Amino acid sequence: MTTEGIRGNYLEHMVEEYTLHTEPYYLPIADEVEIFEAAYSLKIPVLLKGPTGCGKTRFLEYMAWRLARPVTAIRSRAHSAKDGVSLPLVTVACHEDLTSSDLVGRYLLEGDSTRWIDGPLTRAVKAGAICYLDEIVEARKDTTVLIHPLTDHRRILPVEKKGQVIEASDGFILVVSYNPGYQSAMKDLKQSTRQRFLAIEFHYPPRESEKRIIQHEGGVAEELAWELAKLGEKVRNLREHGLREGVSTRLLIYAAKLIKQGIAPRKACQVAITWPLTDDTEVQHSIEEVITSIFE
Amino acid sequence: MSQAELTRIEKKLQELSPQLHQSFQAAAPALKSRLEESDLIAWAQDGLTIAGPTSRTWEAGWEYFLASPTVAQALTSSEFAAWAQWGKLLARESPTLACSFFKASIKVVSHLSPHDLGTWAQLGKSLYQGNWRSGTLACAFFDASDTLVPHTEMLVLDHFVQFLDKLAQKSPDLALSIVGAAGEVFHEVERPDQLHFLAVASALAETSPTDVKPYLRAGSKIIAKVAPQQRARFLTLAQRLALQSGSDTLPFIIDGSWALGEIAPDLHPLLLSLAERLMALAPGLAIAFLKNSPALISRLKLEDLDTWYQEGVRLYQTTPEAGLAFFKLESSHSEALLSHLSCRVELGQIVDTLQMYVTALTGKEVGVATTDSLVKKRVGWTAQDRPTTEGMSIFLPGFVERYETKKENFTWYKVASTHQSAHIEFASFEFDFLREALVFSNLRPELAKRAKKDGHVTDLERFFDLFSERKLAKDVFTTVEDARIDARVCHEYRGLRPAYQGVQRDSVQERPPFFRLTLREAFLEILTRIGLGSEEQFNVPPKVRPHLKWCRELLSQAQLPQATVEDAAEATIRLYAILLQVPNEIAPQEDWQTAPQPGESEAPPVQDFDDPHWFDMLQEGEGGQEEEPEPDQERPEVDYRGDFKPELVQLMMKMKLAEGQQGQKPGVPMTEEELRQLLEKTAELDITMDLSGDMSQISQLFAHNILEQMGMEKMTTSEDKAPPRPQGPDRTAGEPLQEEPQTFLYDEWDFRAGDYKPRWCRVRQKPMEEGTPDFYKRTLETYSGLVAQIKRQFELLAPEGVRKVRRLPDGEDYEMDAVIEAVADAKAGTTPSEKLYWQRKKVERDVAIAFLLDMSASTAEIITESKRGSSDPIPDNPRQYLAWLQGQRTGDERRYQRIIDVEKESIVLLIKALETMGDAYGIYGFSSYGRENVEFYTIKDIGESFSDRVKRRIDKVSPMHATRMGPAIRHATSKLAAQDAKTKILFLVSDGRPQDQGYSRDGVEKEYAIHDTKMALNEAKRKQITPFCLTVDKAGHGYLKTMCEDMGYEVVTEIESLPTRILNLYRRLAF
Repeated sequence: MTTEGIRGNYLEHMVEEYTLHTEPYYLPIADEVEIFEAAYSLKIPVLLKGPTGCGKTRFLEYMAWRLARPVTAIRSRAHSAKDGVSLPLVTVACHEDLTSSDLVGRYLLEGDSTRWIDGPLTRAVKAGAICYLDEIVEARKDTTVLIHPLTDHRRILPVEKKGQVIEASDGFILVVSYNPGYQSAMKDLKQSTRQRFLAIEFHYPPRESEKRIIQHEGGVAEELAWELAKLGEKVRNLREHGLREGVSTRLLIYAAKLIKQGIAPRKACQVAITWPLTDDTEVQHSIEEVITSIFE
Repeated sequence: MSQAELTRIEKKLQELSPQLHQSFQAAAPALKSRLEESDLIAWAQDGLTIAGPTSRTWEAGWEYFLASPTVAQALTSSEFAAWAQWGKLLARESPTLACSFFKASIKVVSHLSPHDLGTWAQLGKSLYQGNWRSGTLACAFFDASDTLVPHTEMLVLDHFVQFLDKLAQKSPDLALSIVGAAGEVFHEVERPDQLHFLAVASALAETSPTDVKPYLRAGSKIIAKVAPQQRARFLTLAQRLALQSGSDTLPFIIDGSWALGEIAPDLHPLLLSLAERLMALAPGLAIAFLKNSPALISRLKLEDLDTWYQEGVRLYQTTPEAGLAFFKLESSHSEALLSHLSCRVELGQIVDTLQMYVTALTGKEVGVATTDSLVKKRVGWTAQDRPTTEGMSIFLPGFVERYETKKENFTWYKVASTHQSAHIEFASFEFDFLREALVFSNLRPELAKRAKKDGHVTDLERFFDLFSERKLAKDVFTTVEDARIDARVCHEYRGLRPAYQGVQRDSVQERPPFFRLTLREAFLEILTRIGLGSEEQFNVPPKVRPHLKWCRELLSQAQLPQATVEDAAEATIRLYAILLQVPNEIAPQEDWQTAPQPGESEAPPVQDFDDPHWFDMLQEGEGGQEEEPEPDQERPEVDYRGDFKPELVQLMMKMKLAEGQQGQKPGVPMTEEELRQLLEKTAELDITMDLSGDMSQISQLFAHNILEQMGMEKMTTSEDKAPPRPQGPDRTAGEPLQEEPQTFLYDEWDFRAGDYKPRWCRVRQKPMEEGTPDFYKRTLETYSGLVAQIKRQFELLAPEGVRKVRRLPDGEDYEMDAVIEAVADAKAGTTPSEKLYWQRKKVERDVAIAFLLDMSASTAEIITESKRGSSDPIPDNPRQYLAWLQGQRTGDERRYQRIIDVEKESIVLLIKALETMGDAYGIYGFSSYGRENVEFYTIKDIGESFSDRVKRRIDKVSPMHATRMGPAIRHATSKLAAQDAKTKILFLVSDGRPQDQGYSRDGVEKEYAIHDTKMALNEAKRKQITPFCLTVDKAGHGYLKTMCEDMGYEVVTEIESLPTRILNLYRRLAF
C-alpha cells in the first residue's frame, strides 16, 4: 500500500499521513496558540468557534505543524520537510448525511466476500493524528454521539460492526469546529457534546492584524491591505443589518490577490466581496457604496 | 297753447299725487333750459303717461321727473326723447321696472353712449317676462347697473343678461342673488377675460347651477394666477369641462389656476395645449394633468414631460382607467416612469441603501430619515431641508435635485450622509473635556482652573463655558470641527474623495461674499471656505493679514488625520483668542482690495500661551464691551454639511445614555426649566423659521418636547429590549404613553387600471393592548379535553422524525434484501443493481406561519348561546335548579358568544399546538377605517417568544372597524418573507368579504376589494408563501372562489367548530 505517491501531476496521500511540510502562515491574535498547546498536551479535545473564513482551519494547520512530534513508528515511514517531524491532520467535513459508517468504517463487497475499510476517524485514532471535524453541527446527532467515548478520559473508539474497541494512539486529539453564527436553533450543538470540549473563540482579526494577514497572504502593499482591512471592518458592521455573516478574511485576501493580478480594485471587491456575500440587491448596493467610498 | 297744455298736465299730475307734481316742478326749470317748448310738453306728457292712469302707479312718474334733469344733461333732445320712450315702454310693462330704470339712469347715463343706453334698457326689459319673479330680477339688474356698467361693455352685459336669464330658469333666487354681487366680479375680472369668464358661468348654469355662485365669488381672484394672455384659453377649457361635467369645474378652476400659478407663465401655453388635448379625450385626464403639472414640471425636462404625457395618452387609449390613474399619479407605472425620466433622487428610494451604508461606516445602528421628521418633533431643529444628525440618526432632505443627472444627485446624498455619519464615526459628539488632544498641547486644564462657572451637564457645555463670548466660541468650534471631519473623510475614504471635493467646490461657489460682514464674521467665513478646501488666497485688510495666516495654520493642524475632536477644541481656544484681536467691525471696501506689499511682514503676532494674561483675556473677553455691529446677513450653513449642533446633541445623547443605565428616570435629573436654560445657553436653537414667540417660549417648547421624547423612547426601549419587570411600583407610576405605532406604506391593486396605486395604504402596526390572562385560562379550562388531545396529536407529529430510505447507491449500511437480490442476480449472470444501501434521512420541520385575524366590527355578531344555556333542559329538582341557576349566572358572559370570541378561542388552542411543535408563528389582528388607517395589531410577533403578555393581549382582541384585507395581507407577507423557513404559511381567518371605505367603487360593487385581496394573496404566493383563507361567512363560497382561485380556502359553516377546524387545517397545511 503506497503511503504517498505522485500519480500524474498530483499528490495523493492516505488521510492519516497527510502532514504539513512547510510552516503555514498564522498570525496569533491572542493566546490561542498557548491554549491549544496546553490542551494538546493534556489530550483535551478542542472546539474552535468562530465565523466562516476567520482562520480556524489555518490555525489548526499551523498547530499541527507546530506540534509535530519526534518521529514515531508510524511516522517513520513518512518523510517530512521538517526532519521527518510532523503531526498528521485528518480533516472530515461534516454534512447532514454523514453517518457513523462514514466516520468509523464499513464493509465493502469484494468478489463474493466482504472487506472492512477503516473510516477516517478510525484511521486518525490509530495513527495518533489530529482529527478535525469541520462544521460539526452539520452532522447528524446520532453521528455526533459517536465521538463521545473518544472525548473523555476513555479515549476509545468502539467499532460496533466489528465488535471492537480501539484505544486512541497517544498523539490523537479531536478538534471540532463550529460556527455559532448561522445555525438555526434546530442545529445547535447538544450540551452533552459541547461540554466535552475546551472552546477557543475566534473572531475576525482587528484591522491592524488583518492588514498584516492580507498583506502576507495576498502579497500586496501595506496600504492596499490596510484599505481592504478597513473595508472588511465596515462591511462587518452590517452583520445583523442585512448580512448574516461579515465578510471573511479569506474573501478579503481573494480581493487582494485579484487586485495584485491587475483587476481594478472596485471590480475586484465586487466579485470577491459583494457578490459572494449576498444576493440581496439592496444590501449589494450598500456594500458597493462602501467600496466606492474606500477605493478609487 | 303750450302753457295751457302744461297747466293741464300739471293739474292732472296734481290730481294723481301732490308729490308727483312737486317732482315735476322741481325738474321743470332745468328741462326748460335744455328743451324746445314742444319737446318740453312731450316730456311732461310722457311723465303723465308714465305716471299712468291710476293713482297707484304714480311713483314711476315721480322717478321719471327726478331722473330727467340729470339724464337730459347728458343727452341731446332727440336722444332724451328716445330715453323717455324707453321709460314709457317699460312703465307700460311694469311701473316698478320703470322705477328702477329711471333710478339707475341717473347713475349710468354718463357711462353709456346714447346708443348703448337703448341697448341697456332693452337688456333690462328682456329679463322681464311678465311675472313677478322676472320683474324682480329685471329690477335688480337695473339697480345693479351702476356697478356693472362702468366695468364692462355692452356685449358682455348682453351675455350676462342671457346668462341670468338661463340661470333664472333653473333657480330664480340664485339669479337674483347674483345680480347684486356681479358688479364686483366685473370689477375684478379684466375686460378681455370677461366674456370667457361669463361663458364658464353660463355653462355652469346649465349643468351645475349650485356652483355658479362660488365660481363667481372666487373665480375672479383665482384666475388672476394664470398668465394674462392665457386666461381666455384656460377659461375656454373650463367652459368645455363645465358643459360636460359641471361639478368638476370648480375644483378644476381652483386646482388648475393654482397649479399654473406655481409655474412660470411662459410654460402656460404648452401646458394648456396639452390639457386641451386631454380634454378632448376625457375631462378627468385634463383635470388630473393640470393639477399635477407643478410636480411634473419641477421634476421633468420638457422633452421628458412629452414622453411621459404620450405614455399616459397611449395608456388611456388602451385602458381608460389606467390612463386616468396614470395622470392622477395614482399608478405605479406613472410614478416609475416619472422617476425614470426625472433626475431627482428621492430619499425614499435610497433610504435603505443609505441606512446600511452609514451603519457600515459607523458600526452603529444609525437610522436615516427626512429632516422634516426631526423638525416635526420640535426638539431644536427647524430647518427642513438641511442634512443633520442628532447623534443617533441621520437626517437628510426628502429629495435632491441640484444636478442634471440622477447619479450626481445621488452622489450629493452620499456625500451629505457621509459627512453626517463621520460626525458619529469620528466622534464629534464624544468630546471629553479631560481627554488629551493629540496634535495640540492642552490648554483646557489651565483654563478650567480659572473658570468661574462650575457645574455642567455635558463636556461641551463645560468647554463653551470657558469663553465669555459663547456664541463666537461655538461658531469657531463648529467651523473647525466640520473642517476636521471633512479632512478626515477625505483621508479615510479615498474613493469618495473626488466626489466629496466636487461637492465642496460647489459649496464654495455658493458662499455669499464676505466683504459686508464684520471682520470677525468674515474670518469665520474664510475659515469655513478653507475648510471646504478652497485654495483662494483671501486678500484681507492689511491690519488683520498676520492673524489670517495664523488661523490658517491652526486650522490645517486640526485637519491632520490624527486630530481628534479635542484637537478641534484646542484649536478653537487659539482661534478664539486670535479672533478677539480682530476688530469686530466692517472694514471699508478698499481695504479688502489692497494687495499685500512685497516687504510686508506676514509673521503672526507672537502668542505666549503661558502668559497668564492671555487666559484672563479669553475669559474676560476684551471685546466684550463693544457694541456688536449687526451683520448685514447671517452666514448660511454649508448646504451639504447642514446643521451641526454639537452641544445640543451631546446633551440629548447624555440624557439618553443616563436613562439606559438607570432604567427609569433620566439619569441627569433635570427639570424642564433647567433644560430650558441649558438650551438657551447653547445658542444652537434656530429661532427663525415658522416659529413665532420669544426665545424663552421657544426653548420652553423644545425643552418640553425633548423630555417627552426621552420619555417616549424610554418606553420603547424598555418594551423592546429589557424583559418586562415584575409588577414593580415604578412600572405603574407615571402616565403611560400611547406607543407610537410603526407605520408602513403599501401599494393597492386597482384592477380596472391594471396597475398598482403607489403607497396607497398606511398600515399602522402596534402591539395589542394587554388585558388579563383570564380569557386564555378560561379557554383552556373549557376545552381541557381537546387540549390534551391536541398535545398528544401534535407531539406525535413533532419534528426530528427520521425516515429510512432504502435502496440507495450509498448509505449507512447494506440493505439486506437488496444485497441478496444482487448476489442472486450476479450468480444468475445478470448485472446486479448497485443500489444496495439504506440510509436514515432526517425529516426536518422548518415552518413559519402567520395568522391574520379579522377584527372587523361584524365579528361582534352573536352566533350562539352557550351550549349549556340552551341545550340543557331546566332541571325540575330544586337543588339541581339552584346549581343550574348559579351556572347560568357565572356563565353569563359566555352565554352569548360572538364570532370574535370563537376566533380568540381558536387562537388559544392554536398556540397550544404551535408551542408543542416549535414552529415559528405570529398572530396578528387587523382592522381598518379608510386607506390611511389600516390597524395591524401584534398579538404575538413571529420572533417573539410566547409569554404572559401574549395571553394578556388575546384578552383585548375585540371587534373594531372595517376589513381592508389587502394591506394587512401585504404586511403579514413582508413579515413572513423576512423569515428563513422552508415552509411559510399565511393563514387568514375572516368573517366576511373585504370591505372598507374607498375599497369599492361608489361603495357599492365589491369587485375592487376582492381583486386587491386576491392580488395581495398572489404576491404572497410569489414570495413562496402558502396563503390560506378561512371564513365563517356562509355566503363565502361566492367571492372566495374569485379571491383565492387556485389557493386554498374553506368556509366553516358551523362556527362552533372553528377551533377544531383551524387545528386540522394547520395540520394539513404545515405537514
